[in-house]
Amino acid sequence: MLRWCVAPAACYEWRDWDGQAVVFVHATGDTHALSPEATSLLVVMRARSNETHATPAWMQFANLADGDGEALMQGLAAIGLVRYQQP
Amino acid sequence: MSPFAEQDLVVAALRAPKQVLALPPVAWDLLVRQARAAGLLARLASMLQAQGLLADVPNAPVAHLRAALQVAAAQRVEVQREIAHVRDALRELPGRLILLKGAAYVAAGLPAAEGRLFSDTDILVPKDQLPAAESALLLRGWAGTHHSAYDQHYYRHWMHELPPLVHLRRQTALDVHHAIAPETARLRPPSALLLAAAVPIAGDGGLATLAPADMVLHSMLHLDVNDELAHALRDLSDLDLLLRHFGADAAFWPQLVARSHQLGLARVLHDWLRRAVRILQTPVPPAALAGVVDAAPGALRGRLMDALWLQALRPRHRSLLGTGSRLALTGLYLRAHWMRMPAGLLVRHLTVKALRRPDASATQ
Amino acid sequence: MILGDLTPAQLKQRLAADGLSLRTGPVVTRVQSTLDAVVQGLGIHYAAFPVESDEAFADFHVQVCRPAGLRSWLRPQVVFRFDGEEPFAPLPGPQSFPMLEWGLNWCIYTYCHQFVTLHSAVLERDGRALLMPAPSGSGKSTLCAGLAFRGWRLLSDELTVLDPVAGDIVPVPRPISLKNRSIEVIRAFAPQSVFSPAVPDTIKGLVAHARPPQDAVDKARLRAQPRWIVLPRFAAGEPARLTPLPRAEVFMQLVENTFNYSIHGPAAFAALARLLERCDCYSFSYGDLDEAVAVFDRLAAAHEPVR
Repeated sequence: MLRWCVAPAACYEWRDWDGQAVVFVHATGDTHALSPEATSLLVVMRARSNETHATPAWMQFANLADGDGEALMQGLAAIGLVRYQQP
Repeated sequence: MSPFAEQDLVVAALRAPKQVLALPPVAWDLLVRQARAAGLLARLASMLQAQGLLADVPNAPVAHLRAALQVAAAQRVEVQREIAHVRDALRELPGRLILLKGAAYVAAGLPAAEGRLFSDTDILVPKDQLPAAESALLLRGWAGTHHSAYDQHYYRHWMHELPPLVHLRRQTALDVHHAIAPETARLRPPSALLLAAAVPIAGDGGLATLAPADMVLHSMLHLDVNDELAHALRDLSDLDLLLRHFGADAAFWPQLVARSHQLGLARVLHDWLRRAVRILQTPVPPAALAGVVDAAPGALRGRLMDALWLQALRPRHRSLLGTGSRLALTGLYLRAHWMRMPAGLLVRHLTVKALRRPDASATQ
Repeated sequence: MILGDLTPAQLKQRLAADGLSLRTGPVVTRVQSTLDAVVQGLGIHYAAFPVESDEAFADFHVQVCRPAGLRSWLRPQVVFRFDGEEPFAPLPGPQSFPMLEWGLNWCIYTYCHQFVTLHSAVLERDGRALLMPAPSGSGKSTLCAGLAFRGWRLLSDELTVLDPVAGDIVPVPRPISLKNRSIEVIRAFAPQSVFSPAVPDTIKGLVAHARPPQDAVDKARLRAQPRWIVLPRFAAGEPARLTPLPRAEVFMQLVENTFNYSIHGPAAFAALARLLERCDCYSFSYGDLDEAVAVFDRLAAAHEPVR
């Protein structure tokens, strides 16, 4: 199972208002608005920025139902906000 | 009519940045416009900034200088991203990825990257790796352009590069060269020599640039055969910065002279050292000039070419374009093609190009 | 000196020769043209605008003229030149004044990268700026014109120019461009408004310009602090309704409406975030201009703290 952590803070810019975040990713120059679920997930990952966990653990920390957790995490990886370590 | 009309204020500013602080508003007005037309506004701004003079420039023109720096900085970031993408796409290919021109200046952190505007990314790939490189790039989102059979033939068989590639999502352009001069050109430095001498970029395992002497000679050859003369002065400014940077090491000059003979580019070195000295006052040791004086063209031809180039190396701004300039530019355009291909092919190529509708050669 | 100090003959002569340097906020543009509609348009709209000396620095040199060639004799066209270069294709001849206005906007959003520029109308009241980012056809221009003639100072009908360092809004007041029905609506709504002749637009409509109110020109050097961001929408027959919007959503609207976002990159991200945090954000739908103006009057009068 893949284990994920948030990208280093220097890799992106973050602002959030009322549970919704917007980010600027330096490597791509892209700007994204994150869904409330993605925002909750990243808030927790940012608070524990030196930790690495599998998706179900992160979803639990964020008080989110696991459901499509992996798809969410893959989406965040695609835009450069999270990284995985091989098991 | 302004007293400054018909003066090349850009060259004066490049030679002696500090003197622009004394310019009256009407001269600043013309300088900004000429520099912008020449693609050198950001370069000028960067020189002033490096000398701590930007704060002394009057408010109205300084806004344009700062705006130009902003654009150049954004483009530099783009180039860095592009290099990372290309390198990632070609990681399966053996050896290092060799960057050319602007991309090389950026990756190597050279002064020639400062205040520069970038369009394409240029790389050099051994000819036998070309098919593998092209496949890898197409797989990673680049698309071919210039799809007509004629254009494909032109690039692949007569020139020294794949038809320009465009990345579909990022809309960035990539030129994949296998040599620094066309197959059909009169002057063709062997790529094997250039590849063998390539210099790794410090701190980056997969990237390399041409050796300093080769980088300088490439810059000169590019100017010499270029049919895109709109930014000739900008290219000369890049050359000047390369020469000043590498030339600070006294050992560079004899290497440059020797290499030019080895690659068959001594005449090019002769001509362009002289032009850099004459126009931008590049510091070149007399011994270097003496080392290629035997390669000088005949006196008459030399004077003709110098006169043509002097015109072509002015900023392409309406304050400086008279009949003399237009004739010179036409003459040089024809010569550039003469340098690239034999007479029979040249006539055919120019005819086809003239008959082509303006939008047909663009990316599809 | 202001443009209105010139006689019509002098205006025509100078525009035909080396041109005139017009100041619009922070930008000075040397305009040159021999076309009657351009001369008249300048006379109508720019009479109160400062004219700078020919020896002063001009930010841009533009020309509006007929393209060269035989075509000019058959069906006249007009072309915009930026310092002798033609950045875009010609338009039909009658559109020469709109072409100038469009070209002047283009100069700002293409070159003024000392600022972050947005595609957004912006007005000021009591030192506070109201931004209305929106694509054309959303009713933004009509609303902007209505407010400009009823107690709000026009900063621009098209370009919100943000100073990314100071965080305030820079006025670039110029004629207000209106289309089709809006032209008559504003003529009726603001009888004091002065219009240049309407001309056919490229997309089967009419376009006309309303002269900017005097206070917009007088206070062109007075910046404003961002306070409200409103996304407007004209909805015929519906009552005026102001609805708060979540900030993240409005942020992405700002990004999409920023001309030079990629040139500033992270600095633009930060500047827009800072702008947003100083503002209350709403969507606004309206069917009647008087009702709409009343809503904005109440907005201006209220003292709600920024969240």
